[in-house]
Amino acid sequence: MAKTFKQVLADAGISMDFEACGQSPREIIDREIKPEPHPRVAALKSIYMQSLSTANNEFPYWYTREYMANDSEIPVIRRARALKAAFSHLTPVIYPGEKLVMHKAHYFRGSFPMPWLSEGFYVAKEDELFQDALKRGSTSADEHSKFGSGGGNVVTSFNKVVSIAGKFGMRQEEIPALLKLARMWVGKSVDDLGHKYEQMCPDYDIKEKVMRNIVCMFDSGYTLPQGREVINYYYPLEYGFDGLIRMAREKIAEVAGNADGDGMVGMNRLYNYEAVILALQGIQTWILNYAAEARRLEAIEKDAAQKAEYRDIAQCLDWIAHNPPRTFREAFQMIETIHLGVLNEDAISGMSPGRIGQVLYPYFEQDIAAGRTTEDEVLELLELDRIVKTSIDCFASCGVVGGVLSGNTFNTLSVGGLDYYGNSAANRLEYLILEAGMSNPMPQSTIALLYDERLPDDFLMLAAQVIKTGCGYPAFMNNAGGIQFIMNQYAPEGMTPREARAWAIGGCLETSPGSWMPLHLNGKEYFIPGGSGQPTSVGIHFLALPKILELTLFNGQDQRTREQVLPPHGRKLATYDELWSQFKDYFQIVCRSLEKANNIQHDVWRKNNMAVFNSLLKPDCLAKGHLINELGYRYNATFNVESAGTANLINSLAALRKVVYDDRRATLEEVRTAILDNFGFKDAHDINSFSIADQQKRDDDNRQWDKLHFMLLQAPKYGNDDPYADSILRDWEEFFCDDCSNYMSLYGYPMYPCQISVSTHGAMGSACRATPDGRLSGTTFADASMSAYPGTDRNGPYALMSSATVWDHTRSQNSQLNIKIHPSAIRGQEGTKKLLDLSRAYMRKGGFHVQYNVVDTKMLRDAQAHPDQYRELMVRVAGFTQYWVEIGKSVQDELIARTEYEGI
Amino acid sequence: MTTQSRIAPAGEPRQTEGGLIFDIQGHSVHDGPGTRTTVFMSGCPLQCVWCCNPEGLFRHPVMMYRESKCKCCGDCIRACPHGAARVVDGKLTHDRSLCDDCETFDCVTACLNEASVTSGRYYTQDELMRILLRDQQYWGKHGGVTFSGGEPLLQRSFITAVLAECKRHGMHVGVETTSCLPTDYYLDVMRSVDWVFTDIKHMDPAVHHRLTGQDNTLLLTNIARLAALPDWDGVIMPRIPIIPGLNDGTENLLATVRFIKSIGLDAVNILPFHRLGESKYRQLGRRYAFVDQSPPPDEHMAALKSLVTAEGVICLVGWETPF
Repeated sequence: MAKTFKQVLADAGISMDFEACGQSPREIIDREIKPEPHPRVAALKSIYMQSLSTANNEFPYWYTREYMANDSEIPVIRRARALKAAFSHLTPVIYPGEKLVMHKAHYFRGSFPMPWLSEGFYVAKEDELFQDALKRGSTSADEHSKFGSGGGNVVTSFNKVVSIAGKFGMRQEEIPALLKLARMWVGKSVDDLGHKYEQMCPDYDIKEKVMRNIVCMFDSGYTLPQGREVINYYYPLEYGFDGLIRMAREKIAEVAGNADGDGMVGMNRLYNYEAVILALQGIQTWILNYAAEARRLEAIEKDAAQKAEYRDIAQCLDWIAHNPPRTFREAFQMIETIHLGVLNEDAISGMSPGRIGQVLYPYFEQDIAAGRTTEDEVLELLELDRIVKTSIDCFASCGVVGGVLSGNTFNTLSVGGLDYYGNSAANRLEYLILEAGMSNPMPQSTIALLYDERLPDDFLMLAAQVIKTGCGYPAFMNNAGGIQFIMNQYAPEGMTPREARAWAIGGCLETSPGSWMPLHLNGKEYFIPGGSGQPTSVGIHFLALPKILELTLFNGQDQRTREQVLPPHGRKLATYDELWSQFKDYFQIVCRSLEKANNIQHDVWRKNNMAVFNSLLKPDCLAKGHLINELGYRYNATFNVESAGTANLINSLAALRKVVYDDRRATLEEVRTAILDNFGFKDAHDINSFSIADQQKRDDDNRQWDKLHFMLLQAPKYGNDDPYADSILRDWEEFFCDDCSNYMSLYGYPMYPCQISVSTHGAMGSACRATPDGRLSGTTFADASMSAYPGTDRNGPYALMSSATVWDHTRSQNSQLNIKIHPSAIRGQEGTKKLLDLSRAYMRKGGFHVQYNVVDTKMLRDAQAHPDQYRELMVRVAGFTQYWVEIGKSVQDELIARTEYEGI
Repeated sequence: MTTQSRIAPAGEPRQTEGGLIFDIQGHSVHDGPGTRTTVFMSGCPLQCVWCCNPEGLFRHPVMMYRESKCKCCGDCIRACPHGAARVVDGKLTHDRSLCDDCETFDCVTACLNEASVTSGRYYTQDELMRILLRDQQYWGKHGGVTFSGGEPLLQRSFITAVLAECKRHGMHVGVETTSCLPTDYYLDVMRSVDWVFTDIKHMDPAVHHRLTGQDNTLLLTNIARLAALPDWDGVIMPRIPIIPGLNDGTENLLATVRFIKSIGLDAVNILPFHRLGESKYRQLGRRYAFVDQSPPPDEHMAALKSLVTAEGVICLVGWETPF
């Protein structure tokens, strides 16, 4: 007998209420309505929404003043003194309703320039400083990078506010101070000193041309020297700041004058511990200044409830300035303070809090058990944390912050994964973290779900539910794959399988090593994870792979600027193998020049601008007496080579192989000519749209390239489960993953591949001519590394995921697959399950990362036309979520063009 | 309609090697439990006037012309050996009667803009199974493959062999069928099927004939026989497309629901008429009879649903798929 439908539902465990015939189908959809944040959260969020990115000079003034006054000091002490002075003088500001307090600077979205890193880009274009900076290749990136003009970005000056670095507003009267400060660092900043020495590399000339022509996007040594790592909150949580100072004093007694067998840096331990004490004192003063501000507000506040809140804030800050936290609230405030403190120490994007659901769990568990807090109160704090994190702005050049990061700061949280004992790590607090991501959807913290087969289904279902709200997080990351990469990369430094499980995402999707630390609370021991490695995404960043192919095809000459970027190879490229071999040669020449220059920049950074506060937090600096610059971190093999435009490279190679070499339907010369003529199309810059879908033919086009363009477009494309194209991907990945280890970081370790585009596919595509896959000049590259080029994946997501997994993702720090999915395709509880099925299948196939934009393309088009109506619309770009209105047009266009999977 | 002669009311597609398939969609979410791959097979015994997949009515590959992609270059006019493509009143038109026996599709080959494309291609069993076995890794524990169309069971030898292969690999198999097939074959082939969506477009045989070209006796018999088949434990989900003015009357709906109850089933899926197939009619050079017809309003669907539920039968509306 045929089964009844009731039986079917019962078998599937679906509530029988449903077919009691009372409910209409709409109610399934109703469940997807987003929960509201707590009222205080909504109020503070509205302040954020009205705030502009603002920069001021308080921190740089005190830093510069103290640094210059200590010009004969030992570098680490000099730096620590400057930091202490700057932290001690930050004006505290507390907004009514805040529970987690403290800000980077005294604006809601405040930040400040750090001229000691780089001073040349602050000022308007006419300024001589900028003109000077222009001469350096690296500045080209700024010209191809634009911020979205909406939201909090100050892209143009208005009234008495001057726009700096394409994003920040500064009060006009502060500009002379900024210029004066900037000039004091001319010739002394990491940028300037690095530039002086990098020119001594024999292939510096190549490096400069590579940067000028946007074959590579940015120098990491002075732009964002730290970040893309997981912070470690353990030591202050366990010992308190007073305890740490005490430990450093004891250590000084132990190491002063004692080389301990290390004739090179053994003696440095004394100065390092002294620097640690100075930095901690600065942090303490900063916290206590906030406590004093809270008391001042308490004294003048009329409202009894708010008065009590100020008192609570003051008590909390007074306590954590000295002691280990006792409660969930104190612990949360402490990690928030540490986080902001680290971000104020250096120009940082991607300082990820990591697995705070694990870190804060001891306090959560004990407070809940003792009735000191409720889940609702915890949820409110988690919602508030999202405002704190989203308010963080990173001050660096437009090319870096706009072109690379789209203004994002990558304070990524990781949830899931496995615990110290190898069991599912998902705990009740992590469920609440996911819920806060729904009830207060804001770009930060973006959430990474460390997917593991051992995670419970209801946790994964909740995660899929969060994705469906359209906020772009969590992304699914492959836990087993991440662990395997960590083991491979860090085994020489003593990595063990247990410790590998402490990994988390640092930055957007950089696999970062961690360690388990024993936290003690009221006599109970907990092993909490925290970062224990150097920044995991510094080095050679970002390589425009299609651009390197352009240079290969044109004998090393850039076809946009006509500059001879790489030495002419003079080869005829008569066979595919010759083409492929020459491409690899050029790739290596480019990498080699960048490796050296970046090593020099980072070396200058570590000598004069080393992390002190961030260092002392990381195992095992306090134990060893060495900071980051002297390999004090437990894991140091963290430098990488980052790629962009993978799909366009693969498709271009496949098209050339098919049309020119296998079928011989066109000559290479014809393809070259067609590329230079942009297949008869206008340039993307002329029509101001960077999406392939919008490109227009030139009026004088005589259709001479139509047939060739068609053949190239019809050639096999990555993303269709077509072995012709996919085997080229595998060849590339094999080469790339092997080749990265040929480059060595300044710390003496081999590099590894990192395959995320962030936003560089926009800016770098903008500087690249048409490509043999049929992509047109100036248009945005395919995003990420495993995403298909828009419109070329014609066989659906299963075929795409199959193509993506023809190579071993654990050989790379990451890979990235972004999928745009129409909300109708995943409606209802069943839709959630289906979304989970798809993600799980990709993880099981060995994919490293998948994330979704659950959004209707029609809405994105409307948002582009009416940005003012979409202030809160968030989209997933490539590894991060951002407000639509704060994203540059080239990336907006690419997001619209992405293939959309709809329900059939 | 000029193409009427070319649409065989029954019988297998011309070529017997392999199956004629006009689309394969991965990650389809409304065609059965879980996430599925849906295979659209060509040819259909019915010719419902509202059919939303008109390209599936053909039993051979067919050229579709997408005007929005046309750059008016004239390449196809020059390429066509039959003189079927012509410019009339400044617009490219095709004399479909001349396209009738075309097997070379020179216009498609010549078109560089993907304006002229073919719909339908022959897959060998191995080719299709390779795709399904790949997709099987993505379906999750609830999903599977659904054969749709057209009438998926029309290409008998091909589908019989494919279904057997699917079962051998433990796949969950669904079909979206007219059930308008010889009874012995129908009951036999269903042994390889776990989930059956089957349309009941009208209960009155004469009206059914007017709307679809066939009367409903055979399909109602088949559905009843299948529901009563002692050793088959699949699921039958009857579907009623709600076409305003044609079959949305209360009487017909109640008759259908009572039929469903009488054969021991407890659920029905009512699908509101939609116009998503309209552009395909244009692309095939066929007239679309429902240009001005709006979809039934939500309230109407809700009213029909209450009628059904009042009869004690579960009613799923549209793409509501709680499975």
